[in-house]
Amino acid sequence: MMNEENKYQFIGKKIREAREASGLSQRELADKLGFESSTAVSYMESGERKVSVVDLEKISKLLDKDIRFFIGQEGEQLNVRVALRAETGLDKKDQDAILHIIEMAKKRTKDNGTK
Amino acid sequence: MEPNDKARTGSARNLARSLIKKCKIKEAPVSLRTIINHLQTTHDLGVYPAPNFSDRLSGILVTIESESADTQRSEIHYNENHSWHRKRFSIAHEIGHLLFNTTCSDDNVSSYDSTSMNETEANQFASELLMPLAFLKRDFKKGADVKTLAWKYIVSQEAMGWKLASNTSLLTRV
Repeated sequence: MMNEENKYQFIGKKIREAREASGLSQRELADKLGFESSTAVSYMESGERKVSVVDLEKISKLLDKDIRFFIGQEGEQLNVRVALRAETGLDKKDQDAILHIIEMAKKRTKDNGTK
Repeated sequence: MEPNDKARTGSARNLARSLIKKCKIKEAPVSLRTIINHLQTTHDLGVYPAPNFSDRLSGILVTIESESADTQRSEIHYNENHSWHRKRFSIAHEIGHLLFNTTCSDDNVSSYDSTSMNETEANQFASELLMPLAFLKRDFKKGADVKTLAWKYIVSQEAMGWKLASNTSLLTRV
């Protein structure tokens, strides 16, 4: 588990990565966020300034990135495998029930993983 | 049946026997609770009743693996509206899939084929888990009939009938 300081450095790094990918300068991002100078963005990217959730949400919209990207939880792909005992040819109701079970199982897997 | 398929059903039965041995189960009925508790020492496994399956769907095994593969969770859901016998067989069948790792991608659910080799293998496993031949031989020698045996093993008479019919050479009273 990352400590708080490292976490802000991590988020800052991800902000820089997303900003550079979108071709914005620190100045431009600062303007869009309503910051007075580009230094604020620079501090945020180095982790010295603790980014607020409200700002992070704005950044995620401005840079068109899922907010989870900035906290390193994006793209946690879960591989799903199934096996059945059934008669061949399942109807829609059963397929829906199966999809629901898969979603619940995914949720429980994630919950267990964060314990 | 192809030679390879024969080998697979044989190893399915052997796996069921070794599981019973590991769980120190000595006689019928085989407690699935004991088997599941044993498996839960090595697998993150949950078993749940499913209230909304149609009669055609008996059970499902879902295995979720995180991308980094450091966590894996398996869940068995069985049709809770089915008879006790059927529920037991469904759970045992899914345990077979779990141990043989014969699951498929969730995109393939609609193309499920109940006659495939993976299903035969899981059925052979379930049959041996709930009706171990070693126990049956002993009980059969005592003169029990299909109805009594089915009652004792908590399986359907149909399942017991099949089991006895497919092992006639091994089950002789003389």
